[in-house]
Amino acid sequence: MKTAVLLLFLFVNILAPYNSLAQSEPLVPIERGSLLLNEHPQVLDSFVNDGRINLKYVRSIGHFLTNNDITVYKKVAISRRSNASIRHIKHLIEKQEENYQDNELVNDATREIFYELYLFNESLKQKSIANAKTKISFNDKIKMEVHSFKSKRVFRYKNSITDHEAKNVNKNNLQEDPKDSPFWHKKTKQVPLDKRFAQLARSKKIKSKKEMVVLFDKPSLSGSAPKINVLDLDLDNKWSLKWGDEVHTDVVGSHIFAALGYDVDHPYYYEENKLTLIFDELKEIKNKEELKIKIKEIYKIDLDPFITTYGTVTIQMTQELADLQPYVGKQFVRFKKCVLEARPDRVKRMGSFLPGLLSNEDRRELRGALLAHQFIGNWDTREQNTLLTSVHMGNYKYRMSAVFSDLGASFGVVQGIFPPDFKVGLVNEFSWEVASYEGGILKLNSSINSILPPYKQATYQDLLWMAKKISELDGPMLRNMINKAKWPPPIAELYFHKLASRRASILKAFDLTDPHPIAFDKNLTIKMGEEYVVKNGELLIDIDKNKNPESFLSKKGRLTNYGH
Amino acid sequence: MLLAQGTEEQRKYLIKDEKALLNFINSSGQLEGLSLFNHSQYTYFDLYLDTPEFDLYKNKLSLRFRKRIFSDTLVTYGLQLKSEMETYSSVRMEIEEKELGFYRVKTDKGWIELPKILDVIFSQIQNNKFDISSVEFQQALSSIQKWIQLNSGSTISPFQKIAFLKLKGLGTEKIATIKPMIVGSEKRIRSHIYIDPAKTIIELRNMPMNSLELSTVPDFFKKNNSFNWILETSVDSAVFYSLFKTNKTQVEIFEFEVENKYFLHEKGTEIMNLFEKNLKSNFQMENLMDSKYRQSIKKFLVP
Repeated sequence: MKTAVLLLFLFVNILAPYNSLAQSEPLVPIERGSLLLNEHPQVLDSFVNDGRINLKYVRSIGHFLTNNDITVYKKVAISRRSNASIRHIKHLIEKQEENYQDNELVNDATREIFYELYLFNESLKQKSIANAKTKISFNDKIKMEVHSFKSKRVFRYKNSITDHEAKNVNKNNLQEDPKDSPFWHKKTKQVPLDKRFAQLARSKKIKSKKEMVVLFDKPSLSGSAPKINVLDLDLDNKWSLKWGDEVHTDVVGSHIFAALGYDVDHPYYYEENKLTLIFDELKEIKNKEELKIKIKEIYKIDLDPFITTYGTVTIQMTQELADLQPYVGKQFVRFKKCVLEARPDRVKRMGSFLPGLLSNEDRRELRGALLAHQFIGNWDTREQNTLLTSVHMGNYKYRMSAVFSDLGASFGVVQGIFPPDFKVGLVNEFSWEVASYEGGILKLNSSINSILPPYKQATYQDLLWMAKKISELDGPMLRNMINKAKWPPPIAELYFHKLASRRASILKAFDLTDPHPIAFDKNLTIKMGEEYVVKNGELLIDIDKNKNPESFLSKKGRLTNYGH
Repeated sequence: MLLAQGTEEQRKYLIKDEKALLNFINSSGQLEGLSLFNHSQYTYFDLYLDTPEFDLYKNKLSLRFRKRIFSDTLVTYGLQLKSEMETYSSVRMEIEEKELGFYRVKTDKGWIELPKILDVIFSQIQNNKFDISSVEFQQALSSIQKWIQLNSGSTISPFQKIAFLKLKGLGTEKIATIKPMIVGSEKRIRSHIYIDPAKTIIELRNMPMNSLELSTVPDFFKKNNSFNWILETSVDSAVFYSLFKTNKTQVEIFEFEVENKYFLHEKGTEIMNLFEKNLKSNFQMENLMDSKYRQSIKKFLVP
């Protein structure tokens, strides 16, 4: 039976189309939605003067966001403003200029722009300050540890109606959906939940192929997982090429968050030799050896175990992959596994979406996200992993969107203290249950490193709302999303059972009837030949160690070079 | 050296032997290892702006609305601020508000897109029916002046730059008085200057290939990927009309412009020097510094 399940999984995995939302299907447009809260935050009063637009204030924000001659904020250099985001802001300002000339009273339409301008303004400031910090400070590390420790104990809830619900939620429908907003979108009939990731990708004109050729652009200096910036062959779109322990987890985490209604980054997993990185002799790094040295210098990680082949692009190679034709004679390198995360030209990234500002902590969709993080076991919930973006929808029309970014520190996370270390995607560390209800108290047990204001203020009703969203994910959807990560089949199967179990624990804790029960087996056992790979719900063998240099069992992570 | 955003390295020349130059361009000729490809003709319509006291002119700046028509099809509108050259080979500041389509002017007939107002003015020139005293022309000028008055403090890049520069006589209130001063059109014959490895001299053959954003690379170089794009040139013939009281009603300008397009900028400058030497010896050209606006105003203001 178990072998049959495995064969079925392999079949589905191999035959699964790469881009799950076929390009021929009509694209369901994504609208911006509304940012307005029931009670407008006081900070927005500055935009109003005697019931009309305070043009002086609007312009001062506009100048900060668009004038490249304003280069410093609080003694730090202001992050580069992209031309597209400048255009987006200018459109907003111009609407306000016209309203001012028409002497219009402030209304909901003008307030929408106040919210948006305020968020963009604060986000640029946040990004500039964050960019000035090159390393995580000792204080930040301590804070993360404190939050990790606290988060295992503070997420306790009584089934009650709080002042927040009394003020913000329809009393006859305590789990009512928030309005569509840049932070969250309701499901639509046209797009199945597990296809929402692909729908988002299409709306951003992201074009991933089964086999990718990308051009080296520049090293990346951010984060702790090794990565570089690369260019698409169209030279307009960019990608972030990453290696290490997040290459599977980031993909599934992002698909699940998209299914639950959030905007996300778009990581795509590439198997052995399915991605070719081409070097340009005019760039800082000209070949595989220089890349290796740079990655070692920045991330202290040896890239060698992740590399399969390298050398000079030959005519023979172009016969197998036509995209390589213009690059004959150039240096290239290929990998055992990697993930390519889209940086589409249509999307301009500002700073954080500011979970603790402009009363964002009152938004149900952000409070409920706590349970989504718990579901996938995401540990790294810091503000810098939230992102405010400007999406160009074509014809110079723009839409603000808030993104849950970097969801890869999930699906089984361990931290080492002596020596300091960090590893994600350890299936045996991913617990079977995440929620429980004991003695009238609901408990969540997955730790997070930053209890942001919306998570701190989340109520039972907010989490119940998200639990209902999670209940809408059925078995085939969950399997489809796991397939995108291309884990070795026994690991994917184990994750499927664990996610189904975690989902069931959430529904049980909230006393919800499961609309799509998913069978799972906590004693899952999978044999390959005569050998037990998974036994009694535990991974026993480090599958294909050579093909998976980060290892699925070893707790040695990115700070100890994955034990190499 | 890399050029900062919003700058360009350009040189201008007074054309003395017009026939020889046009022959050279029309035949896509060669000069000392550099090849020329005459690729298109553009038509521009310009409406230059200044304060009534010519404060931009006095501060060596020019500000214009420009309508560009590329090969009789593609049309764009922009508002450009440029600085004058300080020497024959200096870099010019250029700040442009590229999309004017979403700016609108409030008129008696409601909100009208700015390019439509500009077209009232430019179409008279295009159709050789230039009548400064016509009601529609005067209304269009007045609408533009009003738009500047109301928007000069907004997020429009050239106005932001003028305010940022804090120039003598150009405070916020003065910027709001900027208005149309001269209008005109020009024809540009554009050519690429490039290195063809099969037809060049040894010193130029091994120069690294230009590396630019694909969106800025002309089709000619996408089709001929062994050709190395270095410079861009144009022969400009322009005529401008004064919108203020002056003894002279029109000014004609005929000049040659060369712009550095090479990614290694200093190397591009060396090629500009080489090209200039040949231009001077073959076509008796002389360096010019003044922009078309400055040349025109100097001529219009002659008593």
